Amino acid sequence: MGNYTLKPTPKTPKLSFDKDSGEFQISGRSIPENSIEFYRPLMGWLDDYLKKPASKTVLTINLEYFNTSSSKCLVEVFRKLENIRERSDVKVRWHYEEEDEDMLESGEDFKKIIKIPLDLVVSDSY
Amino acid sequence: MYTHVFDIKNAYIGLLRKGQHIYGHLGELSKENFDLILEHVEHVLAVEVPTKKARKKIFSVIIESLQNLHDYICDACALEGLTDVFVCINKDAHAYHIYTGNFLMRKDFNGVEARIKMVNSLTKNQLRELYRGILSYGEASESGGAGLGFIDLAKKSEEDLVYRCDKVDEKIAFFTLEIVVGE
Repeated sequence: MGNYTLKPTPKTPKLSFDKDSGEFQISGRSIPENSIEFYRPLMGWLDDYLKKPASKTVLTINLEYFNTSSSKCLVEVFRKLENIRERSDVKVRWHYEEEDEDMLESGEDFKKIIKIPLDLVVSDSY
Repeated sequence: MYTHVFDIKNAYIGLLRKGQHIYGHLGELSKENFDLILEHVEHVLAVEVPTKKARKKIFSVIIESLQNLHDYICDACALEGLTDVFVCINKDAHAYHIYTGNFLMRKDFNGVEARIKMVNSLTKNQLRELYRGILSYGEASESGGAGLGFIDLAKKSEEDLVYRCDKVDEKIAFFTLEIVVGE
């Protein structure tokens, strides 16, 4: 099992998932027409990671835009990480720009519905 | 030969005359057009909209609206050559008005109308709770949306979602949606 990385495009985010350090990153734009298709390979990779997770898993999400179908996929990613919280110190860091109330609100919404800690982090730039 | 009474060009031109026109597209919504529209809108917003907050909100609304349009373009409409849609952004003294228009089956309109009436009946907090509920428990559709599109648009709109439906023929109608984003 290797790391999972994907370069960003104008409609899809950068994905950087390091299996050894447990440092995961989703950043940029997540507005694909078919989010399920886009995130499917990542879900498969995560299933493998869950078998032998790093002692610490930190998922940093720093999105400029995401569509509603991506939000559903993000919840699926969070749900997968919930499964390893007994074996790995799991945390989500949700970045938002200070003036971006919608992105802050989204972070707060995710925080309410997931069972792993989510920190809301103000960022200067994307 | 049957002549359609409804003319998408007239509807589009009518919108161009309402307020200060910032952006407009009338044509098919192919994948290439979809990407081009996003590119053009982003460029136009950078020039025409002074605050980043409004730019981001308008662009988010455009993304969700276009994907909604994409989902509602029907095969029956395509068979009749009714594949054109429009997207239009206008500005008045207080807000930005985003309009989308697309053909759809008249039988599908009832479902669309019911969803819009439902989101319009809710407060912002109730919309947020509904969104969270669907996000947490709802099943994703084929495209992954889980029916969140109209809820998201209603959350972002300053006012109720405004819609109208024009009869095209016995089977097909033209649906126009308006979303209002503050400055």
